[in-house]
Amino acid sequence: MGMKSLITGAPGARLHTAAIPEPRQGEVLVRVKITAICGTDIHIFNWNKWAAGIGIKPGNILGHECVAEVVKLGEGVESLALGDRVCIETHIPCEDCSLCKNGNMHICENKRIFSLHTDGCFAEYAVVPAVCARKVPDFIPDDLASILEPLGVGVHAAQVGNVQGKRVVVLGAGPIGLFSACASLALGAHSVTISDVKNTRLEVASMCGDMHIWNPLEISASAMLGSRSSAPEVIIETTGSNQAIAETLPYLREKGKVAMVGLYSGDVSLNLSRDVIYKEATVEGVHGRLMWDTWDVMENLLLEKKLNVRPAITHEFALEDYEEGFRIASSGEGTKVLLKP
Amino acid sequence: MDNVMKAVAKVRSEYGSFEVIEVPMAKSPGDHEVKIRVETVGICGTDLSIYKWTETVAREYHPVFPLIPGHEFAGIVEEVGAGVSHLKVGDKVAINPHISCGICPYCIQNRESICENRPILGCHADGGLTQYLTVRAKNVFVLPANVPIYLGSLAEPLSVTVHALERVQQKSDKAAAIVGVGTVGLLQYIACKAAGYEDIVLFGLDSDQERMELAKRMGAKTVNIEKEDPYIAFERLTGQPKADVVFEVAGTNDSITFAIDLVKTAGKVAMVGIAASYTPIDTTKVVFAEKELIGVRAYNLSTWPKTMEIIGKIVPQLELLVTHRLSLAETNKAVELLLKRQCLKVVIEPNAESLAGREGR
Ligand SMILES: [Zn+2]
Ligand SMILES: [Zn+2]
Ligand SMILES: [Zn+2]
Ligand SMILES: [Zn+2]
Repeated sequence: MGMKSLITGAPGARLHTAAIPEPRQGEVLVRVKITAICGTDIHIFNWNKWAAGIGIKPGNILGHECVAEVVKLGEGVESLALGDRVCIETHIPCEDCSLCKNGNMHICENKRIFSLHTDGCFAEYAVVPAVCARKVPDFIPDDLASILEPLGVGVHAAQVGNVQGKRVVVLGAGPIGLFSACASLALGAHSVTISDVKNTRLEVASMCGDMHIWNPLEISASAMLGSRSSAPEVIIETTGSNQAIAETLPYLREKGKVAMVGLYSGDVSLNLSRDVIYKEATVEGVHGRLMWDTWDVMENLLLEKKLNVRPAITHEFALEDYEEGFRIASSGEGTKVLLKP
Repeated sequence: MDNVMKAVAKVRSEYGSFEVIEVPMAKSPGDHEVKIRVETVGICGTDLSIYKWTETVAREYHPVFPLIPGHEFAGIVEEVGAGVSHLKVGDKVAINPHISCGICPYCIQNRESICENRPILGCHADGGLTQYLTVRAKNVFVLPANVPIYLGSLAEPLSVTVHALERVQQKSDKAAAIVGVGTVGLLQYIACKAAGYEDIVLFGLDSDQERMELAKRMGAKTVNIEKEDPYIAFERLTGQPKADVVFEVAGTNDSITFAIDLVKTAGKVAMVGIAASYTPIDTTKVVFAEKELIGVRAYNLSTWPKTMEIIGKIVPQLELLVTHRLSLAETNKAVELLLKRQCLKVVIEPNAESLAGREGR
């Protein structure tokens, strides 16, 4: 029996009928209900330098964001039962290193990444390590469940930013930026400003909550952030654009915090004395989600209806229409684009 | 001549221009003030910048000339104003030269290190290179009895390193690295040791050879990164591949890049060294390994009592740090020594000439 899957074309992608995989020890087979396109998938679709250099095997199945149902248990799996509705935590920890043993499984030294080092979930079925299958509470509908993985990054960034009561500026209104902004509001930020050079993305952001929107092509950083009452206490950087951080960092307040989420293609030049040392500011990297603190916090915020992220889901397609889905996701025309296998 | 005293001052806004001048005697202390007889003044890179009158100094400090430099100083309480309860005449004291405002949002949170309005004695206002000085009592801290007064001026740079430890706050850490082996690097070593780090490794360059020898005499492990692979060396010396925490005190682009590489996943880099303008950062390393870069500036008021506790326990190490003790009239010689890097810590003793038995040091 075969299954529909979307495999890498290096570049591009193509539909392929693959054999339904068998879960091995410690793994489960899931039937995929809804998937979502992530920035990582777009990099692999475009087969940029990064994607070409990380050892993705030819014909690898794309995709890591989804909601799915457990249909078969591998040997020794006791944490899950048939019929469980799950999301996938993308970081596969070794469970053995000192980071794993000290609450830092998400940045495990030996971690593998689901869909880069394994087949992904843009398919009718996928095999998932049981340790990475996160059960989804019943109150979360399928479409929202399919975007919990990237939403978790935003929640984690807002947690690192320690945003409660603070003026927060989020750079970038792509999915991660938008989710960081939503999470900042949910975690009690005093105010949230979100920036993007694409007004379509800012429109989606304004539907997600009471945040100030800022297009730096239309309003300068000094006009937006230059006064004492507008200068940010927290910056969450999700663009990976040198210009975005270089223009904004000078306005960070004393003892401010920068949560760095975006990845830059080269070095970024920062004036550390003026902007970090003299201000006693802190710059901290944020990668993935804590396992499982971030997921717990996120589910609680959803339960309390504090995280209004549904407007982020702008498009839905059948898996077969992946070309259009990728086009919309990568152009910035849409925010979260779902694919249904 | 009780109404005048000697001081060294920057007399105009040109390179050099440090001159011994006579100035009116420091005033009697008002309420909540004390008058100090200055016994020791440390000369550091900031003083060199004032000497050279760099662009930054010209922009940041708006002094009225003559300006008396000296922000690292200690002395003896000469006279006590009304309302001062924690000091008495004859006390041996060190002075926090940051006159924090006490009312800005940061002072209110006891974060005087980032006070919005804090003249620094010796930078924005007259400092310690003088015989007497009257200062706010709140900035004056009693040194432990066993600390020779000439070492008291080290309390200021030591406070910077104690504050760096406050900023990183990682009690369970075992292995620390210090990048840079100047006075601050060596003081950071002493402070880290006092804070209980098991393994502390200092990283320096060929040009730091003498200072690294000194560090070894203090018991430190040192690595010359121009002579051996620093990562292999760190693992050999500590048994772990990366540092739990790194204190970056050198402030160069190379040293900052190295510090970020050297710290472990989820580790912290205390940024103590003042980086020159722009530093290229490979943020991928910071993001993927969730590293934290922590800005460290000066100290809080609450740092100083901790410094006073530590300084009594590290007298032998501090004695090794001070290579020259000079008089006020020899201040230009002290500057020369620093410019030529022929010394480690030089202290000026402004009242030395008037004291008997100061020969033969
Ligand atoms: Zn993703
Ligand atoms: Zn691990
Ligand atoms: Zn100094
Ligand atoms: Zn203040």
